[in-house]
Amino acid sequence: MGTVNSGDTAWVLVSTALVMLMTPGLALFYGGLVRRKNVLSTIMHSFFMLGLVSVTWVLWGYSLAFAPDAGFGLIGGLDWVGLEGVTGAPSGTYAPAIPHLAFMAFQMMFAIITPALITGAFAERKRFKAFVLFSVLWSTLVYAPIAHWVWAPDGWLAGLGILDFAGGTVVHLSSGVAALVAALVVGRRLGLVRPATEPHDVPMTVLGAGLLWFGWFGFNAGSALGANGVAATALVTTNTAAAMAALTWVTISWLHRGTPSVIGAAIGAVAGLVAITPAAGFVTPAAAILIGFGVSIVCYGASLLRLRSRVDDALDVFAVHGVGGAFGAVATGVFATTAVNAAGRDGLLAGQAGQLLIQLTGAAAVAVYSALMTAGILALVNLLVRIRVPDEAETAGLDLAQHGEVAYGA
Amino acid sequence: MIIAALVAFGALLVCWLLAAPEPDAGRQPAAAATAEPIAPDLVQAA
Repeated sequence: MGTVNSGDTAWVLVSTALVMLMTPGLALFYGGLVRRKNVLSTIMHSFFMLGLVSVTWVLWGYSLAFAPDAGFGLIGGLDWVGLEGVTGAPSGTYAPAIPHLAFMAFQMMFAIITPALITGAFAERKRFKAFVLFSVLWSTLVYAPIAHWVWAPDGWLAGLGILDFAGGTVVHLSSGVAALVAALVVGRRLGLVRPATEPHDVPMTVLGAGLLWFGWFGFNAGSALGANGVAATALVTTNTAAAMAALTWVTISWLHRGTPSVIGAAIGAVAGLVAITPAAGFVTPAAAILIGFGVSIVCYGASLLRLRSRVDDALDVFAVHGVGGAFGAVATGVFATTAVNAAGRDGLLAGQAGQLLIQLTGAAAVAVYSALMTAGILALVNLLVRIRVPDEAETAGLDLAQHGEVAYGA
Repeated sequence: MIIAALVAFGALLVCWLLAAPEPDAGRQPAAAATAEPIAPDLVQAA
């Protein structure tokens, strides 16, 4: 067991706060994209998640994700239920220079935002009770095991050698695939017509994207778990990929639609942030530019495909987080180099094609597991609490029908 | 202590699922029942 380093600890605690801010940022990002009669319910999905998963993470989530393995590298045991034995002293396993509680809190913020990301898929039509039950079950049965597979040293994907610096597979691919399944199960919104119309508050969405970008410095650079060169690398690659992706998305939409879209800039930046997440501490800034460039092309294409499908993933969670997360996982296998991070591994361009295969295996496993478990959880929730609000509630808007409040005066 | 904390959270969960009333879907004042356009679409808007 190591000694607490004050600089490392300060950085991880600040990063924890930065990542916490991402969830309200997500609330604004999503809130601006829905119709005004559903803005409160959309914001509530993220804000309530801060409370919900904060408590479940302390009670059992952290233990299932990070406690010593309960068998086959699939899930953690119950040793740390209620944070029993998790103290201000460093962990013998995780981040030896910071308090174990700081590591736990940092991971908690990831656990909160991941199910919150899914909520964009079923916006404007999901019953609040169903959302609560789904979130508890998904966080417990999907997020915690996948986090264990990838980030616990005795997880099976960690054993294979998967590289996921800050959650490309654990956070974004898992939630993106779950969003696609949720959109299919919950069904399309009533009266959905094309061409679709504009979000109700674009400045709110851009403010949310700005907060996400800001918080992402904690998400990625904080994942170095220390105030060091890897953290600096992650911060620079994060900003670079987000910037390049925003520029690329705006350019594509400009060519495609005829105008340089503000919403396109916000979505493009988020896509870049998603894609660089698994790679942030393993690649060079130049690679980050290529990742940002590539992910916007791929995600923009995915959005177009979604438009032509019957799937009503209301806020394009799959196209941005699912596709972007998978792209980032693969890109990590291409661009990773130990010249950047000696604790990492070399990827395809550094002569190790096998790493790309590991990344593909990990991404496929996470996607399949998330899809199957999400479908099962939604079926169970629908048995206990109907998932979808009645038609009249959907017509009235969820703010009033589900929460008894409205966002704006008449 | 941990058991008590689990019980406290479990009590909330039971309340949410069983005891909390289903909101009244019939409330539709003029502010909510608008002819607002359907569904933002990211790519269309972008």
